[in-house]
Amino acid sequence: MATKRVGDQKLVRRLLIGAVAIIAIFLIAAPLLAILSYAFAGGAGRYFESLLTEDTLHAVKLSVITALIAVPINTLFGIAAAWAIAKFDFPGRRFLTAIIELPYSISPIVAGVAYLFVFGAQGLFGPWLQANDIKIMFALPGIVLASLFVTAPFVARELIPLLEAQGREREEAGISLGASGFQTFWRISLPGMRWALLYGIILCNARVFGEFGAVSIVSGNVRGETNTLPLHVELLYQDHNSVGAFAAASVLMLIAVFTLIAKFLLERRGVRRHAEGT
Amino acid sequence: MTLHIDSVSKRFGQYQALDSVSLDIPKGELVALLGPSGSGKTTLLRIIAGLETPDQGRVLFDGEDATDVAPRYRQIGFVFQHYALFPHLSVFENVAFGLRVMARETRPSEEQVRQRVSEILKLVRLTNLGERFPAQLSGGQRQRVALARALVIRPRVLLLDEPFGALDVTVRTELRRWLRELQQELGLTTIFVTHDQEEASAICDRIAILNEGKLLQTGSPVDLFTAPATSFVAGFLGSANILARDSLGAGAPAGLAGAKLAFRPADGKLSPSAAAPAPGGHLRLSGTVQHREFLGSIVRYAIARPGGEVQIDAPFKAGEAFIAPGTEVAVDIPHDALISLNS
Ligand SMILES: Nc1ncnc2c1ncn2[C@@H]1O[C@H](COP(=O)(O)OP(=O)(O)OP(=O)(O)O)[C@@H](O)[C@H]1O
Ligand SMILES: [Mg+2]
Repeated sequence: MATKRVGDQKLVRRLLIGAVAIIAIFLIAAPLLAILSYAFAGGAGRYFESLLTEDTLHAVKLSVITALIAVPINTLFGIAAAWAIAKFDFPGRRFLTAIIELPYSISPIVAGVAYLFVFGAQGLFGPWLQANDIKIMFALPGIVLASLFVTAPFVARELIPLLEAQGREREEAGISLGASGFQTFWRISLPGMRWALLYGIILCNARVFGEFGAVSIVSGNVRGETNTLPLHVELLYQDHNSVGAFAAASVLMLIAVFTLIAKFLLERRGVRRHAEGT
Repeated sequence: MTLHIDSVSKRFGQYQALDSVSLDIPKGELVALLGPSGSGKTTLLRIIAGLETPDQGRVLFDGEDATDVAPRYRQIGFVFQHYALFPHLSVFENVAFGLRVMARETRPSEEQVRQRVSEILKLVRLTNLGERFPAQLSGGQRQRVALARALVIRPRVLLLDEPFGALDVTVRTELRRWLRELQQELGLTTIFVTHDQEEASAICDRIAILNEGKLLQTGSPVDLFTAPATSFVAGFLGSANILARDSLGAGAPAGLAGAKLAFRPADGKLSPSAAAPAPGGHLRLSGTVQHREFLGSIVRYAIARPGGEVQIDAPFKAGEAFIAPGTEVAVDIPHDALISLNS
């Protein structure tokens, strides 16, 4: 009789798969369906009506603006950081990597509070900012800063292992063929990381839209002014406006579904397997 | 173009990767840079290409100091150890790269690019593969793309870092012959890195032997084989038995001045130790057969003797009996097969 590998028994396999499927349905699929069913509880008319209220539209707009600022900045930051870490040798490389990944391990609320301490009225730069009439807390800059902090690692994290695996030879080949540094980056490095970069950008974008904790501290939750979409959902919910809350939530859900599909397509291209390294 | 490497040194931390290496290469010559792994071959090529800066020394192209010239202006064709092709570009675009990045004033037109790339692809016999991507090529084909890519910029010097290292023996042999013809046809000054001494001897005009960052000896393959200066060179180019002069006593021929003597395994003749005294003009060693390997056309004996083991290759003739391990034997080496070594 052939030796059995761990987990080969049919019963174990079925139990495991079944358990995971049930948990996934209860924890993930059911809530998603609930969002839709509540959102459309009063019919499509009510749905669009509450989606198109001024405050909800403003929240969507604020979230979009935040993403339009934060995602490009963190993309550039991610490329630069990954490039430095993967392609150069310098003391403190590992330390820098750890710093970049810090937001992963810190609760976003803590990040929000930290910003409050730095830029808030009672904070480190508070008096100076006030004296110069610069508004960071409870305004767009604060929201963008908090989003930047939380999503800082997303792009870099995708790129570092890829760039490390690729090494420096391709760039060196480009340079010795007469290309300038910029040409080498644009024609060789960037295409070499395009899928991993896109993957990182998509995750980063999804997180910017979804971020609640850090933003809720620094935004001040002013309805129609500093409420991003997730904050607005919570506000509507507390107002017992469940159709409104779930309609707004359905926008976030739509972004999540797009992200999921994009992730799936990119993973099929082998982004995570570093196929670009060949 | 002539290439002068003038006492180039390079350290990595505590490690002396290159130690005052000097090498002159006349125009059109193919020099094989031969040395064991870690001896500094790649480092030397990288310094010539400008990808690494030497701590000391200079690199001169046609007598002009190029040490401080940026790599992109050196016009050097570098074929990397692991090809380093651009995976997102087709074979055609890989080869065209060097033309497309030229400054606007000198950049050829699209039509000229097509023509030039097609010419080069024909030269490396890849005419029909222009549309493919590197991932869809065999190792030998990738190697030729890498070469074509380097040739398209009309390099002044061609540097090949173990170009055939990853290929199997038949492809290697074929490619190296082809490469030699191409190199001669183009009259390209070329450095070819390898750690395969047979490959080096087969195609180059001169061999330069590098060990632990030092250039030990340069010369034609025949010169290095017949007159190695040190035991390292003697042992690296073909195999050699090294004898300390002291261990030979009075038997050592007077004409050879070196501290050590060497001879090739094929030059020693075995005979039963009790047989007649050594013939005139021969050095006699005596010992015991330790070990025997049958290698087809030759039989290799390891002979234990007081001054260390020696290896003797005896031609194999069908029907002839092997000498059994444990047998006492004499090894006679003609004096003119002895090589005098400095160290
Ligand atoms: N960037 C670097 N940093 C530190 N040490 C290096 C660096 N590049 C090379 N070395 C060291 O210098 C020595 C020579 O390296 P080099 O790559 O020139 O060897 P090589 O002769 O090409 O070997 P191989 O045949 O294995 O390719 C090695 O010991 C290597 O570890
Ligand atoms: Mg090497």
